[in-house]
Amino acid sequence: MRWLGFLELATLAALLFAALAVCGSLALWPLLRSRLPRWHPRRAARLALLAASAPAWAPVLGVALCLAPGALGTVGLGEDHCPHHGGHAHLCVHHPAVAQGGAAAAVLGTASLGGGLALLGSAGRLARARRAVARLERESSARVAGDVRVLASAAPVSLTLGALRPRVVVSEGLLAALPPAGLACVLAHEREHAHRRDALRALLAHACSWPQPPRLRRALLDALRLASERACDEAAALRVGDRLLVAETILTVEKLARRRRPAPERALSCAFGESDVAARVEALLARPVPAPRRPWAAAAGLAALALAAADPLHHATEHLLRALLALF
Amino acid sequence: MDRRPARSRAHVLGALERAVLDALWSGGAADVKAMHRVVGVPRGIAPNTIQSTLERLVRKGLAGRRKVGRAFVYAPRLSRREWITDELDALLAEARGPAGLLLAAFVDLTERAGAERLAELEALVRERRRRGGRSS
Repeated sequence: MRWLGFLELATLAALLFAALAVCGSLALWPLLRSRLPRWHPRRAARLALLAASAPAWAPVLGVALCLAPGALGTVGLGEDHCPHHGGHAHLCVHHPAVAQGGAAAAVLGTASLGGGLALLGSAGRLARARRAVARLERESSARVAGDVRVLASAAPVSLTLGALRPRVVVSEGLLAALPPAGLACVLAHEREHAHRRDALRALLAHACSWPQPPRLRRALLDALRLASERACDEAAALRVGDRLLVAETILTVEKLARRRRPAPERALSCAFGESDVAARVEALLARPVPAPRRPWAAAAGLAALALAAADPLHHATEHLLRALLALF
Repeated sequence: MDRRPARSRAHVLGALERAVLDALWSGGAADVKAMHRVVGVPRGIAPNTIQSTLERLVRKGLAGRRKVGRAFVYAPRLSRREWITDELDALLAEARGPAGLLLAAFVDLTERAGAERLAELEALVRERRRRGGRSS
């Protein structure tokens, strides 16, 4: 039953870290929202994805860091410190606590059930979406420019379909409506979506962000989508060597879409107060932001900082868990 | 008279229904006997199965039938192009839902920029083009 005790404590700790991640996202969102448009879209997309999915990665990272001191002690890279502090349950794989029962067991049971149901629901929705996308992919047979499939439809649409193996699809309607230079912009943009696996990022963000408050979640997912679009616009501008041409093409395709089906105009209360099209065109008209350099250097620095904080985090979490368990 | 079925919905078809519809698109109108020769015989399927498949397509609004002599002749009620547009519209209608997670489009599929704002942006781009060229 000692492993059950460990699971109870690890689940409680994970829920604590998830709650902290949600609070952190809520607190940092106003700052992030004001900064995102000023950053290079690749960096903005990375940070929007990190913020949206914080309730998923923060518990994993937090629990892993809490377990790190004990694990390092086991392989001889540190002192086995658990015997030095008794009196409370250990969040440690080598000195697992006995099952706490009561509230801790209820939390474990509820979290397992809730997590299982959420996973099942997500898998069902994803399967339906995959079938819908696969049906459309089957209809796009002819090819243009090698990797691009053509859809025999008059609707002026270009899409990147699929998360793991994305494919670019353009409609005959769009091929007929755009001049070759405009089409080059569209294809460069869509190929960048495929290259960046933007659908996979959106899928991850969607799946990992459900504990976020609904309005914040919508705003974070909108911010991720806009940053991804802008990143693809920048790539297309580099490819065709003309930022204005990309802006003109976005406006042309937007007008074609309006002509075919006037959808509701975007409310002024959305993520950045404007439609994605307006934000993208304005970004292309503005001075380009330099591409971020050495993103992995910052990541390595943060990882080192996190490892250094593992021991105090371990103790703080154990004390917090003890206080929580004492309440019940 | 518009004989087309309701739009913007996905037509969920079985493999045999799809094969029969494909045969109607490529070969044009056909009765059960002719359709059985094209689709049924290669698959070892009885004419009755082909007939019930054609009837299902009629019920789903994808095929129509008229009596010629003693037999019904079936014809598609929408072209392959219209079918694809239906599939596309059904997917785009779900673009804010789960299906939207598996696709990225060049412009937002569900919401449009305001007309005045678009005109303003076009004027800005034209002005920039007039002044500076490529802005690359």
